[in-house]
Amino acid sequence: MNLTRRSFVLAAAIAPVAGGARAQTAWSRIEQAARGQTVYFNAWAGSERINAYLQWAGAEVARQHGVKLEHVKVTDTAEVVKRVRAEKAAGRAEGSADLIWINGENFLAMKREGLLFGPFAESLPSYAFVDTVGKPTTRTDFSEPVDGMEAPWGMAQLTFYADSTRVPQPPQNLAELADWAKKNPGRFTYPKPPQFHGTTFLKQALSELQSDRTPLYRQATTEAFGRASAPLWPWLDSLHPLLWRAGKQFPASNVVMRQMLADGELAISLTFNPNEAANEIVANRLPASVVSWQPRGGSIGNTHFLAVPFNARAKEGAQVLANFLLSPAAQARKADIRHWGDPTVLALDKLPPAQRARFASDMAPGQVATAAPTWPEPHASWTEPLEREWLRRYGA
Amino acid sequence: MTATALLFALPLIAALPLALSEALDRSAWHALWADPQLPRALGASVFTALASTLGAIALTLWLVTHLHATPAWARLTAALGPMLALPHAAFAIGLAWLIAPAGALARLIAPLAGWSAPPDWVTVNDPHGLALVAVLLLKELPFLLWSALALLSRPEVAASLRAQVALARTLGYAPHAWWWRVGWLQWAPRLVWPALAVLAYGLTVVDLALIVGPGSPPTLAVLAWQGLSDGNVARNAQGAAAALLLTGVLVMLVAAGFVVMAGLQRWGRRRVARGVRGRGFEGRRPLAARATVGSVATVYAGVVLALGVLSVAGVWTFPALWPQGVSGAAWAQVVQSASTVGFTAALAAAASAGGVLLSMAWLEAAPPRWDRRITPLVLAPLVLPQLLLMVGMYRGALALQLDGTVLGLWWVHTLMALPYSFTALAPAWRSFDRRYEWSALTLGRRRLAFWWRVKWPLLSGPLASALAIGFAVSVAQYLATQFIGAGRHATLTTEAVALASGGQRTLAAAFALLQALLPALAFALAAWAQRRPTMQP
Repeated sequence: MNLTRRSFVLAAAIAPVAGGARAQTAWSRIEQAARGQTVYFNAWAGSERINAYLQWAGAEVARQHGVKLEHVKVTDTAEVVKRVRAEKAAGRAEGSADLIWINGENFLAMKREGLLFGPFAESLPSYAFVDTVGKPTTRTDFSEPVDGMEAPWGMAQLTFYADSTRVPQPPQNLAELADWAKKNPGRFTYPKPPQFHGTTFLKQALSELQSDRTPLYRQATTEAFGRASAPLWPWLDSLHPLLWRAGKQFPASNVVMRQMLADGELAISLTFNPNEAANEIVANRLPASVVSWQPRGGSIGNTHFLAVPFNARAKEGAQVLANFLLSPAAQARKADIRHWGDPTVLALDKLPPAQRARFASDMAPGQVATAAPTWPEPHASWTEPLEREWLRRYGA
Repeated sequence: MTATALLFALPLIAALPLALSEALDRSAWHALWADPQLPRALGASVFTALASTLGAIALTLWLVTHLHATPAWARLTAALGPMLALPHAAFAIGLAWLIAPAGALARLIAPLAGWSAPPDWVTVNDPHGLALVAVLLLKELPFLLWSALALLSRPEVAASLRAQVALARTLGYAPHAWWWRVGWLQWAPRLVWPALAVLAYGLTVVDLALIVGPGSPPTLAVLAWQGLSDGNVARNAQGAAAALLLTGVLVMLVAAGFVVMAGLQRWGRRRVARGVRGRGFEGRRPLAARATVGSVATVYAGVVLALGVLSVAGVWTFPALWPQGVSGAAWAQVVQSASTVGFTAALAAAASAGGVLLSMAWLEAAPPRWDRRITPLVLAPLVLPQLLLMVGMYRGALALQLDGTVLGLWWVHTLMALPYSFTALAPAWRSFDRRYEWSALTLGRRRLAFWWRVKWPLLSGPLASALAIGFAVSVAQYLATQFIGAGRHATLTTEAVALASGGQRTLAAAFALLQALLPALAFALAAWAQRRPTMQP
């Protein structure tokens, strides 16, 4: 009895260590296999700073783990989805992509069509630091459970920015935005849905106009959609005449809007990267007087991820790279406005103090001063009816 | 040789059904019909393509009529190369900046008008697509002029032309009167393929339509592209259906074009037969024509200048005439990507040579019956959306184990260059005087010797321009390189397009200038080859 109890206590004390050791050997086997592999990382390459960051990461994983990173520069992740889909149709066991920068719809398509390898994310050693509680979108990608099929990489949140010389008091919610537009007609707009940022603006408006947002996070029914969207359309009807070109035309994307803001054609623009304006100021493309803010009550946010295709040649190398990109050192550099300025997915309070200190940096011009709460994306089933109804009313 | 040509047509035959199977989904068509944007998007596509094509054709005929064999002709010839080399999207970015509400023109007017913020102009992305028409017209005009030039500079055409103009003069007709009554009646039909390429391009173009075209709704090509570029299979199918609809519209427009052309020819012949003299004695209008060429050249110069300034512009608020900050960051990126220049040029040279050799093989050897059947297939890459085609071709490449290889890349680039080199060569080949061949063979020469010593030198002009066009087409390939190369082989264009997706105008401008450089060299070489004295018949 005594013995049993002692051995029980002993077992309980050892178990986590033994489990950890097992995990460690499994991981060191992966690390070993990864050595010498080349990882073709298919990642959007529209920013020279992001490309430079990946070059740094490539040098680090080569030095630390003997893994070679090849950045395949893509313009649209859907291209990679199509490529992997074609490879699956052709029965190709060894594919062309090893790691993909992905989220939302593309992830959903790949997960449902069995185009992904995994689950792998939650067994990455660096995953222990991920803020799964404070940042629930690290485990639910656009209402789709991640299930370890992709590893979180960075955070995004709907953010507005404007030149403070033209907009001294940024509107903090939709009502204030409409008031501002009334005084400054033609100087705000949003990208035309179904462009991603345009749809997000609609979701933001939809969310702000609800007294209770919970139905938005459930499957959309015709009735629920009708009820929830009822206040949205009159609000848009009254807003549109105050927009750029009286709301009869809409810009194609948020990057077009950024250029229009830089040119002075617009006074307020929007983005999903809270540090975009700060980045542009550093790059000398926006004046230092530009400020960013998030609607005080909260704004739509999500997470972007790293996924491994089912037929990746270098699955181990891809995991080692993903683990490195998730490590405090890589995340701190990524969050640093001088390098990229992409908010971290880690929970800073889980980190040892030395690691946490890496994240401390002074406010750069153009950064969001006070972060607003993050609202999750409405359930994916809301997107389609929202876009369709918008197109029917304003699209043609 | 026919077998070789077929070998290249086969992957297309294989790729098409794979690509089209997506478009034959019933629910995709339902979704397309239900899209409220469809009627106006289709209208905008047809209007912009027709207006720009007809405008470019009319302007080409008018300019040749009034400038051919004048001193200005040589200057025009020299100016075409750089104009052709400037990538379409770069031209659109530059021109858009010149006329946009926050662009050069508005900044020049601002101090006079007292504007502190950009005016409410609808000069780009206008709902009717007029800006798109202007960009297409200005960008296709040099291509049509180049095609006309290649035709008219051929020794046997040039000789016949001189004789006929001289004869017309003795009958009291000025050269331009002869052109409208007789000249174009003979030679305009030979420009039909380049004109069709222009029409197909205008109807299916996506990047220009995104930069300067209407936005709400966009053109049908943009709607198709948005659907096809989605990760979702159902949206892909809707995009494929839209693309198929666009192809159907193109076929109908082409058929209508042929009917109209036949009617015009009949009318022209009757007019000539009746001997109607009409007006046309007041002489040519070289001054008006020169002024037109001058303004087009000025627009191009303005665009290049604008791109140059934009490529180094930092913060540049309205209405300042000069940027507040100048930055070399964009050019630093260009220098970083310059390592891809060698590979890009080698691939383009190989692909344009492949395209020309295949076209020649085809034109020499294909029986007429096959010719009619296969030609539409060879031209398919001109009209089908690249996204649709590339998914099919990638499957083909996977089956042949060509994905990710340089050989596969060469193969797909050759296929993409083929329709252009074919349209550049076919008129010259088809109208080549067969009596040269009969004489040579009668004199006991082998056919190969005849080709090498007589035919190819006589056709060196069209050959050189076909090589140059093929080169430029290969340099511009993005999707083909990315798909068939499986992301393994970077070119100047994959680098530039990937960076351009970030929407940085400074970067786009800097890369556009570099991208223009390679084809500009190719066109300059072609122009040089054409100016060399060729043997006289």
